[in-house]
Amino acid sequence: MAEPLLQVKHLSVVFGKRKSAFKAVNDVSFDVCRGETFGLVGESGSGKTTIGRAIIRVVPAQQGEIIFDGQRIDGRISKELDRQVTSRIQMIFQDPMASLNERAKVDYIVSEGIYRKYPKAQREKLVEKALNDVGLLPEFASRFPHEFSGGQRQRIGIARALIMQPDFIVADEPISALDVSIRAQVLNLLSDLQKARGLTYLFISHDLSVMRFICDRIAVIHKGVIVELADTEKLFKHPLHPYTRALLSAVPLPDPISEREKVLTVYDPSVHRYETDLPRWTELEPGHFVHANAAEEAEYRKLLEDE
Amino acid sequence: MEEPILTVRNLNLKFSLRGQTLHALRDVSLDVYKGESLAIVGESGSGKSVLTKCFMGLNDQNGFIESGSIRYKGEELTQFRKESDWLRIRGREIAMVMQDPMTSLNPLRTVGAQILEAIELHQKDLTPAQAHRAMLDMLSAVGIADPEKRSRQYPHEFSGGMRQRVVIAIAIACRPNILICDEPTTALDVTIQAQILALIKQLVKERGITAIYITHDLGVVANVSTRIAVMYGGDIVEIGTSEEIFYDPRHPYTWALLSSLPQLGVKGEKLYSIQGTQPNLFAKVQGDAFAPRNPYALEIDFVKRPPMFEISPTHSARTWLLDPRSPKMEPPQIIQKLMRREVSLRG
Repeated sequence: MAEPLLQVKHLSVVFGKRKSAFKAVNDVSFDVCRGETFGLVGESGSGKTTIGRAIIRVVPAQQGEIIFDGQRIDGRISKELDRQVTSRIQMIFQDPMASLNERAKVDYIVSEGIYRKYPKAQREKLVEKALNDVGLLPEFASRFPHEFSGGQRQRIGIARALIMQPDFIVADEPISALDVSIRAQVLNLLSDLQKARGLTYLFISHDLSVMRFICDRIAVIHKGVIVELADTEKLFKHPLHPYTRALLSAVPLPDPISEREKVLTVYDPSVHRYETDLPRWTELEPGHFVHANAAEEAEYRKLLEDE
Repeated sequence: MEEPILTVRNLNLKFSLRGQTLHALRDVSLDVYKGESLAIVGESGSGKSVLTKCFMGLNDQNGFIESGSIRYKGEELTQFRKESDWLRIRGREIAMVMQDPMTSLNPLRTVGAQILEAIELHQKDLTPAQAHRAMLDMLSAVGIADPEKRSRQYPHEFSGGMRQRVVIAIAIACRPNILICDEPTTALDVTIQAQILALIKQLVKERGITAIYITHDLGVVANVSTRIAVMYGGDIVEIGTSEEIFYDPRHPYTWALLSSLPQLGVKGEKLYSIQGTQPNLFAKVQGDAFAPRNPYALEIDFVKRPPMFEISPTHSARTWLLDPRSPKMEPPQIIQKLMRREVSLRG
C-alpha cells in the first residue's frame, strides 16, 4: 500500500464542557494514503463531518493525533505550518447555495485564498485557469453566485479549493444537494481532477451507492465510532457489522421487483453485549477492520470463512 | 383498468416573468387512477412540481393556465377562481407533503397543535376530547413513540426524519383522497429515507389513498411506485408501469436518467452524464425538447414534435425512435444490464 498522507490516531472531539459535554467523535483511527479516495459514511449526527472539520483545524481535537505528511497538525502549531496546512488541505462543502458569498463576484470567491499572495494580473490568470479546470467559462468571473445553477455553483466551490494547489481535499457531501443528472457531472469532474493532479480525497457522505462508485476504501461511522473499515469491494461483498448491513439494505436499487421483496434491516444497538466483553478495533482479514468484542469477532470470522 | 380519479388533458401553463412568458407545461395529458402510486420523475425545472401544484391551486400568481383541463370528481379545476373553491379541495381531497420538513412546520407551535388544527378543520363533528384522541392516534400511526409527550413538544425538538413523520401525520389527518409527496426524502439520510418511504407506502395502502410521488431520483421510486411518468421540459415523455420503465425503457431521456444513477456505475469508469442544458422554455421549443442533448436524436427530432407512441396499453413514450420508419436503436449497455436484471450492489 502507498504511504499514508494523513493519519488520524485515536481522535476524540468533545463539544461542551463537563455536564453538557458531548463526545461527537470517540477514539477514531484511520490512515488515508496518497492518491486514494477514502470514504467516511454515516448518518447525520454520526460525527463524520466533525472528523473532516477536525482535519481542517476548524474544531479542536480533544485527544489523539492528526498527522499530515509526517507532521502533527492538531493542537498548537507554528504559523508557518498553519499556513502550509491551510493551503494544502482544502474543503468542498455540501450546499452550494449556502457556501458561496452571495455578495461577492465569482472572481473574488475563487481568489480569496490567494488574495494577498499575488498581484492582480496574476490572480486573474489563476482564477481563469481554475474556472477552466472545473469546466466553467472565464467570463463567469465577473458574475454573482445567484446567476448560476446548483451544479455550476458546486463547480465554483471546487475551483475555490483548487486554486490553493492542495494535495488533500475534504469533500463533505459535495453532491447530496444536487439533481441526479448533475451529480454524475460533479462526480466525474472530481475523479478527473484526481487523475490529473494526484489529489487525495476524504469523501464524506451518507449515501453508499455514491461511495461505491468513487471510493477506494470506506469507513462506516456510527455515533462517533468507526464500526467497520474495508476496501470498497470487500465492504459491499462481506459487510460484517450489523450497522453496515442496515446501511446497505437502505440503498434503493433501480429494480422494482427486488425492491418490493426487500426487507429493510434496521440497526438495533442493543444486539451488542458490551457490558463485560468490551469491543475493540480488530483486523479480521488484511485491510478489513471491525469494531467488535471477542464473541462477535468469532462470529464474523465464521461468516467470512463460510462465504 | 379502473376509472381515473384525476384527468389532465392537454394542459398548457405559462408564467409571465419580467414581460416574458415561460411555457412551463407544454400540452400535458395524464390520468391518475384510484389507489395507484404514481411517480413523476424529472430534473429540476422539468415542471413536475408545477404540474402537481395545479391540482391544488398552489402555483404563483403570475402563472396562468392557457388551455386544457383538469377534472377531479366531476369538477373542472381549471375553472376555479376563488380561494373558497380551492379550500374544498386542499387538504381534504388532495393533500401534500413538502420536501423540507425543516421549513414546512410552524416553529412556534407544538407538534400536537399543528396536527390538531388539521383534524379540527376537516372533521368538524368531533368533540375536543375526540379530536385530541385522534391526534394521538395519528402520531402513533406515523411511528412516533410516546405520542402524549411528543405532542407537547416543538418541531426543533424533533430530528429531520421525525419532523417528516409529523408532516405526513398532518397530511393524512385531513383524510385526503390523493396524497402528493413532493421530494419527501431529499433532505433526509439514506436510512431514514428508506423508513419514511416504507411508512408512506404502508399508510397509503391501509387507507386506500392514491399517492403521487415527485422526485428527481429514479432509484428511489422503484420501491414505492406502481406507475412512473418521466417529465422533461414541461412535458411527459414516457409513462408506464414501474416494470416497464425500469426493464423496458424506450425514451432516450429515460435511458439517460437511468444511466446516470451511481447505483449502476462501474468503478473506474466515467459515470454517464447528460450533456448540455435543459431547454429554454421562454423560447418556443422546436421538435423534441430533448433532441439537442440526445445522442440518439434523428433529424426529425429537431423539426417535428413526436407523438405519444403506444408500446403497450399502459406504456407509451414520446420519441420518434418508436416510429416504424426510424432506424433500430439499441439502448446503451447499462440499460441492457438493467433489462436483464443484473443490478446489485455486490457486483
